[in-house]
Amino acid sequence: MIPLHGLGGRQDLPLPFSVVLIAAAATLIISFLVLWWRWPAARYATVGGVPLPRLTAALDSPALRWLVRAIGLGLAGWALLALLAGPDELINPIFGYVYVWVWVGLVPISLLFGPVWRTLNPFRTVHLVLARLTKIPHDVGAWGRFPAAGGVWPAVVLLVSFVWLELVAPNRTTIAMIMMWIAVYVAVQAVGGLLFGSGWYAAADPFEVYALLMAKLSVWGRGQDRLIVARSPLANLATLNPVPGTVGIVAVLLGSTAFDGFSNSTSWIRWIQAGDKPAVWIATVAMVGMITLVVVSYQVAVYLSCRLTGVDPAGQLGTYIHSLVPIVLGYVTAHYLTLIVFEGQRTLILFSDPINAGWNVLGTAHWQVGMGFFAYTTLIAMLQAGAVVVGHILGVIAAHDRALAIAPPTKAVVGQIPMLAIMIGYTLGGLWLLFAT
Amino acid sequence: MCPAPPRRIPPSTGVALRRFSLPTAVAATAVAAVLLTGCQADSTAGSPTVPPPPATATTTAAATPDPAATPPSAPSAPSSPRPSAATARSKAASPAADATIAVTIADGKVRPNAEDVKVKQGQTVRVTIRSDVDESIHVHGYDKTAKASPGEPGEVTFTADVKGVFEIETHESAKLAAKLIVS
Repeated sequence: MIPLHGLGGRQDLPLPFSVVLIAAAATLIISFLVLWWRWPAARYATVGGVPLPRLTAALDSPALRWLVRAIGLGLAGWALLALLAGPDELINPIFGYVYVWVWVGLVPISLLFGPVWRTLNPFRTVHLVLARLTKIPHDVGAWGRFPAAGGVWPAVVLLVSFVWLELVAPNRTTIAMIMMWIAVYVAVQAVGGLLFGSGWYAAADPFEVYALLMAKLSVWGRGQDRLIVARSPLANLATLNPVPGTVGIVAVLLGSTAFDGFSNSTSWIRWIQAGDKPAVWIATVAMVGMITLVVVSYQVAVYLSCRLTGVDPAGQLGTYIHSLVPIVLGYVTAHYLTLIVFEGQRTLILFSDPINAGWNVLGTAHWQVGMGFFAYTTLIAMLQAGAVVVGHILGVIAAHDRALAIAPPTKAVVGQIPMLAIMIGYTLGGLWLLFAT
Repeated sequence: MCPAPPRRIPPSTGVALRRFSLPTAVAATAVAAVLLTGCQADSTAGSPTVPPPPATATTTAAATPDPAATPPSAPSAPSSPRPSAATARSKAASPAADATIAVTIADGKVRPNAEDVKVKQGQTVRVTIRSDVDESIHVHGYDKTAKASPGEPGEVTFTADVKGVFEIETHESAKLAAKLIVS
């Protein structure tokens, strides 16, 4: 493992033991409270939300859509300039753009604004413009549409390659390495877009798939007649429709974040660096191992849950995946909260001068990174632990609701126990990683 | 975890230190420096190709002791704010640091190997580097860099004014020498 944590100039102090203890206790108590505080039927699957016709009209106006598209395209184009013409050093904002603004930033953007990534996605914008200019339909490609059976598997593959780039790849903060990944990513998006139309991006863009998953935890959704509605995040989460590969996306997100946690510990790095170990191979195997652990434990839990409730396990793999989505959110919040504060600012500063020519295009070039937040170490620790615990609570409630959606109430409580067990495992594991590293 | 307190001041250190007319104070610094940095002091200093370093009490002390004198086991770094008030007087050009991390690169090996170094916010930290190849050491977050080439050690001193964990890493070989834990 190459310890250079992509960017990540500053990492968080380990959680104080007292915070970990309180968070762990809260996790266990709340888990069992939800178990006994049973409700008779799946309540979130049917919640419609409050329709907002005026907001819908405003947000769906072509002018606003094109403005958002222009922002997405403009940022991507500016980053591309840095990639192609900027210096091969850490002062190149491409690294912060990819690893922080896009990869981490898509989470708060999706939580605040809902499924906006679809509109920000520069591939969709370019695709739409080209389709309009050539007067061909944008949603059908040379080979028709991407088959539904393919689900989001192309995005899973690209997501694995991205987390490998972010967490394992040697020289991942060199232009050559990041350019190689971006070239593959762009080629896959462009060729797939030509072959399958714009539906391809929903299946193959790992950032869009991840962003839309997080948007399910926002309060924004679409109700009848495509009206924008405001609803509880849990109700929104219940509208998540798992497709082939959704479990893979969640497992890669959880597993890779856990891997990043332990691979950053000094004891792991010391062990890797001692002697001539094939560091990249070990790290690759460890990361794939963590992802596999999540997949297998989740599958076992789903299987047991189905057996306990007398439901045929076939075709139920995605049933409980909703409950892991808030856990992903808790993990990444705890993990990346201060990174986005620190590197997010730095990237904004560097973004004024993408090719290191002394520009100050955004007027940010002479700003200083504000470090004030980092003085509040206790607050940061509580936010981190709180994010993990809140993610767990939402997950447990979602699991309870899902159990009721597939099984009669009398059996649903028993049915969710395997799921509850692995969720407690993930949560305590996440807390332990925040404490031990 | 930082090195164990040396059971004795290595003789070579003593010799080096006599150049300063405050042997006691400087010896205290040496102890502190070795305490903070210790086990990795893989003395390239004895090599004839190495010119006398731009001598400061701490760098000399940290770089000179022979490895046998500083057992590689380790308590954590002392967190007392100033190891010795007197050290500040020993060399005006290079004020004393509260913690010194002496990095050596020899035969492709980086020492220390992924050590935790704990300091309190506001303390000064010095990172020194000696290398048998062209190399530089980078303190992440603070963005401090010290360069070295064979026979030309380098160092950088800064105030650890931001809390957090910061990687101190070789630039060319991308090895983690230490994590600076500022709390």
